[in-house]
Amino acid sequence: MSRSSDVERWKGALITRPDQQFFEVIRFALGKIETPFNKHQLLEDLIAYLKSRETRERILSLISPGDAFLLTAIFALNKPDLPTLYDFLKGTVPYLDLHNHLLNLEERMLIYKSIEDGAEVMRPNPLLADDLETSVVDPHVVFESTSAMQGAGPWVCDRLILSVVAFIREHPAPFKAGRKFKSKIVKEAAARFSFADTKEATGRLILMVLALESAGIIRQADGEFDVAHRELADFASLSQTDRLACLAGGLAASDWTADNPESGAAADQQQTQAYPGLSAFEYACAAKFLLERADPSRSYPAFSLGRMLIAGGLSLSVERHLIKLLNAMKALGLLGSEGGSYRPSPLPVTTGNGIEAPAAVLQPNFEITLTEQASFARTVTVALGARLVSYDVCPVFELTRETVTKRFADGVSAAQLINSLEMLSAVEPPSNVVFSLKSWEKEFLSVRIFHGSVLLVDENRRHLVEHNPDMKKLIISIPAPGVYLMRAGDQAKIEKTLHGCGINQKPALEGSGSLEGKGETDAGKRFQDLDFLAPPAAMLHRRKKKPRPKPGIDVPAELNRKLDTMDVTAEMREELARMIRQRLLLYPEQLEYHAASPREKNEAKGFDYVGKVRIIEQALSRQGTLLEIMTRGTGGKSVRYLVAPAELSKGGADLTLLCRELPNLSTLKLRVRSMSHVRSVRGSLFATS
Amino acid sequence: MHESAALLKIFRLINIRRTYSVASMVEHRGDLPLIVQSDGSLLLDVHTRDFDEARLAVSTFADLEKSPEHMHTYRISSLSLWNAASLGVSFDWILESLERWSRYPIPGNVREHIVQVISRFGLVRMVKEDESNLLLVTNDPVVRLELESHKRLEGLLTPCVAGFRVRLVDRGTVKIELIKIGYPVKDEVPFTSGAFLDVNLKSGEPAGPFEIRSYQTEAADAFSGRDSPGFGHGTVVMPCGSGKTIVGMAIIARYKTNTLILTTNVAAVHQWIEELVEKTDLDRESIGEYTGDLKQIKPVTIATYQIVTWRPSKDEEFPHFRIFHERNWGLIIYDEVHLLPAPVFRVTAEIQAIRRLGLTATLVREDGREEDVFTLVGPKRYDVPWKELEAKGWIAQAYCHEIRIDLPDDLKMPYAVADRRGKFRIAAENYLKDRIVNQLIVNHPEDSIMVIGQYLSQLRKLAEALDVPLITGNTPNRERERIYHEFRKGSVKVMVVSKVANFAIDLPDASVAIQVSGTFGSRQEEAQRLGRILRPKRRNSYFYTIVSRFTSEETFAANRQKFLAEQGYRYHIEIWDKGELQPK
Repeated sequence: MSRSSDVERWKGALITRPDQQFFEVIRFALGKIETPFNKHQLLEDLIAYLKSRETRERILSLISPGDAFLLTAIFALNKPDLPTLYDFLKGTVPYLDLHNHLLNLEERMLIYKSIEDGAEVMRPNPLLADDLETSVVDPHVVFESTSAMQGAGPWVCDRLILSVVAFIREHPAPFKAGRKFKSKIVKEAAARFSFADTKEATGRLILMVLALESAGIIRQADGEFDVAHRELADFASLSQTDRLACLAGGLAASDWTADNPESGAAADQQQTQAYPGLSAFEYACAAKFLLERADPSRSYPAFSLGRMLIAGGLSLSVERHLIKLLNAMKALGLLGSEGGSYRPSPLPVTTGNGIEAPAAVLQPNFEITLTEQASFARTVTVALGARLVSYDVCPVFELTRETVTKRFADGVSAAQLINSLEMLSAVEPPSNVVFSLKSWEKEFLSVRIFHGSVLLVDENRRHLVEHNPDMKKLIISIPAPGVYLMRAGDQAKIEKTLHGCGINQKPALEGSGSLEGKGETDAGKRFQDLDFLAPPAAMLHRRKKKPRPKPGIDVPAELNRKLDTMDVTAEMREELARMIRQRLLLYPEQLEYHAASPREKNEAKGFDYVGKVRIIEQALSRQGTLLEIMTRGTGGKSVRYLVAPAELSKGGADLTLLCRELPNLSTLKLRVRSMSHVRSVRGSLFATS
Repeated sequence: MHESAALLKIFRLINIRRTYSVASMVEHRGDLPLIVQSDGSLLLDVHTRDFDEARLAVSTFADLEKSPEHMHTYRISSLSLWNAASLGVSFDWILESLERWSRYPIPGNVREHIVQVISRFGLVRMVKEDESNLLLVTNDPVVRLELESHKRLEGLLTPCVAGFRVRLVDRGTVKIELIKIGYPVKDEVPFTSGAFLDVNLKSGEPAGPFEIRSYQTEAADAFSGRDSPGFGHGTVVMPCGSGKTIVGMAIIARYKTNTLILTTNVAAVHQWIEELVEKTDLDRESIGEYTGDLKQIKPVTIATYQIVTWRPSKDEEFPHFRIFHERNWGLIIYDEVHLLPAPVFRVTAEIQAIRRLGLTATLVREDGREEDVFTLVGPKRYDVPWKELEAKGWIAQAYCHEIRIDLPDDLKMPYAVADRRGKFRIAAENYLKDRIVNQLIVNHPEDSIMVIGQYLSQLRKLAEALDVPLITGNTPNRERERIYHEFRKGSVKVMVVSKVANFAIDLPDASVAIQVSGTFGSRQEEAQRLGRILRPKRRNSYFYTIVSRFTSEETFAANRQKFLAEQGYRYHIEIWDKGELQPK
């Protein structure tokens, strides 16, 4: 949206204020104004005032580091509401101070509030926004980071995902009790995955399996893993970064914890009950944002990364969730860790954009070597239909009867497979490979089981079934040649006996439904939405800011000199000094105006019971006015509250204030006698309630 | 002392922990031929411009594992690196070569492995002390400590001031054990020259019977290192039919020394004799045959493994081991070294002072003792992809076909009820294969054809049906050689051969091999059988394998086929209808 429309919005926000507030703003800046009032003219005068070079220079010269911090946060969050801003700054600014500081920025015309889409949001004053953005806003003050040596890339990448998918297809039941790999799998993993040692290979593989399962890409049925085909197809359509984000999201949403990496942690259960976990998708969105936005040459404390997520509209509402995500990303190598800070790893190069280039080399010995052109989407068919030989710089797979037969069971035909292989290798597949694939398909289709109890066998294999004594025992009747009625529930036995007959491949199962389509989740589908997430945080990496224009004069010194010459009461002098300290005043003339304005008492303390009651009653009568109340708790410790007053009622010999504490709006009942200090705090100039 | 050794080990373990960067493939140079994998394997893209040059460099320090059509696989191992180091190759040179040809950055662990392994070569040296003892010396006190405390070396090393004393007979064993614990020995003990023998190849003669080929000279050079130190022992790997015997003879002629040749069977002994007579200036009288029938020891003696390892009973010594000491041999040739029997390993360990040459087409051992062959006989000195020789015309261009045929109805029931081995045999002996063989013979009227099989009953029937000679292990040598002679002459066009044909029978004119059955999935056998038809000739060669469809034979055939595919051969598979015997 253009600056002029921003100005119109700002004007609208001001002019729609009740008269009292509107004139207060105008007077504050322009001093005494004469009747008859023309609000539009007054606004134009205010614009002229704010546009004047001297005013802008004075305003900018009075901006403190604290102001810059808050203004940067507001810019980064792009029109935040108060809860978002508070969440963003959580742990660094108490709510009361934040409230007061924002009020101060409003009074200094640096920010304003407007109602947008039903929410009250903060925006920088459009007349000053350019100056603020170029010379005040500094992303590094809110997204703290330190420069870091660029680390190695993550160990997880597309080629590894493909390799793990193939490995799991070959070993669908890799775990023994307690989510530990069977010893055979440990050996296999060490032999096939080029990692430093067995421990690293198994550790990483377990992480991958957990992440893929939690992300919904693979799933377990009857104790065996298989891929969820629809989800995998959606997953394949994503970019590599998004896939890595999905894995991180999956791992974060799983029962894995950094403290207990091998299995679901019992210690974590309590917390899980207290804070319901986020979905893999929610974590994945956050991971995607960090992968895309955080700078690999910087190291960030966790809270900075959390702020980035809030800036991207992706708040992980509980700190534990943020830590879980960061731990998951760290475990996958997507983040490095340096002294409690996190350094994003440079992402692996995205490969395979050239559709024409061969993505794989298929050889007559049935081996498939993935090339640098191997994009995930193009080669996922290899992972599904071939056995992993070795995961390395270029992973090597091998088509075997077993793996290809599984592919047939997925509903893929030999012709489709051959076509895919031809597309991948950009040459006609070797004739022996083509022949074998077709022959394996024929074999696969030659023995079928319908509804778990009807066995159909093609002519050329019937003899194997009919003459086998074990199989004969399982056959109830033969209603037609090659059609065998079996006992229901014997399917596993039938499969085993078929193997004994010399039919080594698993029979095609029909009529009972396959894993595909069963219990579909929308994980993959939702992950596709990652493509559409483009969080606005372009300013995250902006580095240099221009030096602020200087007015050539020390404004507070000039104002204090003027104040020293003024003949005012001590109370007024203190009030004006406060206004100078708070950088509310820009010109000496404003001092004179404010000195002439009547001041209303706004605080009472000590034994001034009546004064405290009066201030509370005034606050109750003025919409939007808040109270800062200090009470003495047990043990004499003072407690400060910022409250929205609701009702003052009599209770015995004292009055009790019913109020709601900010920011969480919890109801409080405070006795006036327990209050050591009461101060009315004006609500926002732009407050609606 | 023990503590120091343990500390040293821990230190090494820490150092060799690998730093992987498989995923962070950040840059690549797509037109280069080499991909260095972090497991030490090297993939060489055949279709790149610099393939030949890169292959030459890589084969210096890595072993060829397989060479299928598009991408060859080499492997860097400790042994291959030490072999390279023994030739004077430095790790800098290896790393430079890899950098030069590699498409992607070299994984850190591979780089580290190369430096570490090469650096260890020469830490331990073996030198001669006197006629019966050797010395193992090292300048590194920590290494000395480790050797002293290592259990594997107990009883083999005797500490002395200079290092460790080693008995001459333990030379090979000590070298094996040291390799196992990561200390390759730089063996500086000179080989014995052996008794002089004036022998020359006839290849240089104007009307000589043959011309030695360039790769055969290269192989002989690679073995002898042109008499540089560190050479004179090793293994030459060349395809069947490429003339390994000639390489052997070239090496005999180069060293001009008394030579003992060990080979697989009597036929092979005779073939060696014939070749020596034909291609060298040795007279027949200088060549001895040491077999079951004859026990001649001459300046060049050819013996079978079988006779050398024969002994009256299991508990007795091997009486024919004396052959190794009965003459002042200067060279021992182990033909078909992949078949070297275990007892010969033992005796080879004791005769490390003699030059040793291993010859093989396929160093695939079912017992996994390839490393022992390299250690005891010597490292791989020369290896060349089969397809490369084919491309240059040094071996025949071979077309591999697999023909699948149904099992006849009357065999289906026996097949269904048989156990695993029974099933395989029934499928292998499928009598419909006879008709296919017949048809193939008809299809190749001009070719000399060898029908090879596993089961004698099947082969007998076939030979009878085809009315052609049959050669089995029981065929008397004279009869066998008569048939070979007829076959060479062309008066016999077809012969049926049992698995005796797997090794060392040279049939120069066979251009078609029909394999009717085999030893389950033996890759070794498949390669050897193909080798029967690889001698270069004016016509192409054809290798047919007949397999029963829908049986377990298909699975075994696939395994066998895979091995040849890894040598670069393409397979064409057809289904033949039992009725018309025509391809579908």
